[in-house]
Amino acid sequence: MRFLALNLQAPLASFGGTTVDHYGITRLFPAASMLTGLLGNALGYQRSEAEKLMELQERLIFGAFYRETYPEQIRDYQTVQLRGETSWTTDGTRAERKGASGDSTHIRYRDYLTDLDLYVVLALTAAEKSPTLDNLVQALEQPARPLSLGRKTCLPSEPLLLPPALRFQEAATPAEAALNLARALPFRKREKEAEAKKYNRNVSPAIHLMRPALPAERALTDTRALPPAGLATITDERNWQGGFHGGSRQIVIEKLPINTESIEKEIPIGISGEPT
Amino acid sequence: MFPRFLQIHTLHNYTAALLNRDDAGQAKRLPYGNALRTRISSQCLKRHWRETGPLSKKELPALPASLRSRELVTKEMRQPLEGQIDKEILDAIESVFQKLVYGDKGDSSRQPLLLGVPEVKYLAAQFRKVAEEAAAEGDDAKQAKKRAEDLFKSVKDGLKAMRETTQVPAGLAAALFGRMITSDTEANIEAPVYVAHAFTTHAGEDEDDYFTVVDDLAEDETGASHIGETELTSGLFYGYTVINIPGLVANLTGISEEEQAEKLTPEQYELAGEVVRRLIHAIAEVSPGAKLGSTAPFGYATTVLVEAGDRQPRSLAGAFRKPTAPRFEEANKAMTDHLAELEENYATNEARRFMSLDKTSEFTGAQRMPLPSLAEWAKDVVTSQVPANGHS
Repeated sequence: MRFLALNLQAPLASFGGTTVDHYGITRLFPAASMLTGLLGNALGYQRSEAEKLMELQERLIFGAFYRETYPEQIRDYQTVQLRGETSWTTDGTRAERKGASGDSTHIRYRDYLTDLDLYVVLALTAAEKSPTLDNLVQALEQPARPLSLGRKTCLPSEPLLLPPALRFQEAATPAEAALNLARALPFRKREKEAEAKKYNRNVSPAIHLMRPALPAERALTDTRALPPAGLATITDERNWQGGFHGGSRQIVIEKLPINTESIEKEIPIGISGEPT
Repeated sequence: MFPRFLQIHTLHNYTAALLNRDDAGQAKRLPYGNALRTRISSQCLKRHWRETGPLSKKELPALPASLRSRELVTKEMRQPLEGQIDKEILDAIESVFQKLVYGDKGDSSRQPLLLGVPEVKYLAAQFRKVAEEAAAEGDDAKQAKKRAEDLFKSVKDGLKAMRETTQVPAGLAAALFGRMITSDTEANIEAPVYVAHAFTTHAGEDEDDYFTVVDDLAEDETGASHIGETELTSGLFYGYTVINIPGLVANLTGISEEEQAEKLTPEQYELAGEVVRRLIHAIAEVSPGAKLGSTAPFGYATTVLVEAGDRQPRSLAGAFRKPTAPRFEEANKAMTDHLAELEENYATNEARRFMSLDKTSEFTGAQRMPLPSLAEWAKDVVTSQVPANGHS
């Protein structure tokens, strides 16, 4: 199977999970719906072209990985100013609300990943069908709209396409494609070790990979923090007709060494980004 | 191919200000490349761009404004009729309109919504029509409700027709920055202007400002009647905005991207170009900020680089991932070097123009000019998209 490799870099990004009340959380890895939206945007699909988006999402197989470290998260506080409020109640009378909860401000919290540097390897089933990976390359080079990483304010700081020599990987699974790509990339220490320690980051040459669970793994129950692999059930597919998220699929998040030597120290990987 | 995207990169210097605060009253921040930066959110920037300066209603009366409120039906549609029409009839019709405008929860828990003045006027006229008919026919509340509900069905089509035929139905703010209506995805407007959070090119510099209030009349006592502390920050901010030109033209004219080459008139291109020209002035000249009175955070951009092209837009934020010294010349150099590197590796060849207070800096492939010329150039990029065959 042929995989296309992308590099997502940005000061701010957001891989939306389930929004509860006014908290917009982010996961650590992109959702199938987010990648579908990104590629659909590049191809010029409209939001209302649900069938095209559904088909693209269904054809998508992908894995994603960070080298060395996970990004940090921040929580952005936003306010929306309103005029005075008089609201209807369900019993048909009008309720006058004054004071702090009435003539006031809506509050929203939005989480972001900061300093993102993520690699994605993606393949399409029924590879000969349109759009093909080559169509995607063309669309990503000259997209129909600006591309953003989760929210419109999260604009990439580098082109998403890797240089031609690294762009495609021939592999059987997303994990294999990711490992091949990670080995081909020039090793690059983004942080000096001392600085990384200050931020309590791990700089050992490893990758943190998210991939679809293999058939044998699917029989296992979810293990939120079990080294070397964490298995989780996530809902990251969008029903583009109905405009909501649904279904579920199992993914594995694991830490792998970039070189073939053994990992010096195993760190349990939790699936964070869910509301706690 | 005509350039599809305009990318605008800026450097802005603000000293001893508190531009954008979080819920604890502290400046917003961003950890980036192992240095904690001061940050200005895109919402904050956009609000100031649309409320003040060259894009404001005062300066651009030709374009209708937008209203963001939970009270559009109550204040703009019902209130003008109070005293003229029986209260029970108004109540019944209002309830139907709240649901039409704000969705199923319109009666109880409405979200604030952005509607254009033309949309509001259209709906207000419909409200008046149904209320006057109900009054003339001597409806009771139930009959008035039924009358409004019947109208409801045709109004939805009317709204759609209006969106397709009226210029800027949702107003200028929505045409630029989009809107999201959860109850009716057809009414969504895709934002053609993408704004990144601005952040300092260097590690954040902040100071807790201790202040006192001296009581001028308290003769016997010494000291202050009030003491307090507020955080002030100084910074050189990198800002980045992308305009999707066909998307903006679509929102301003109601003509979809596919039909633009055939249907757009030169006047409509002119309008879109003028909005872009003003947006560039707003980005360069309008300052965000709280504490306007006590810190006067007013400053013009020290560098503005505009790129026109159809390759994937990307910011130059990477120039500052390694924090620069907090000096304008060094940030400028980091930006020119980074652009040169990107161009060498990706050869995207955007057309470029720039303005900079740093007399020595040069951006790869870019011609230097003052801001008004730069904004005019951006306008020309839009208006020159008129197809050669022309229109009448």
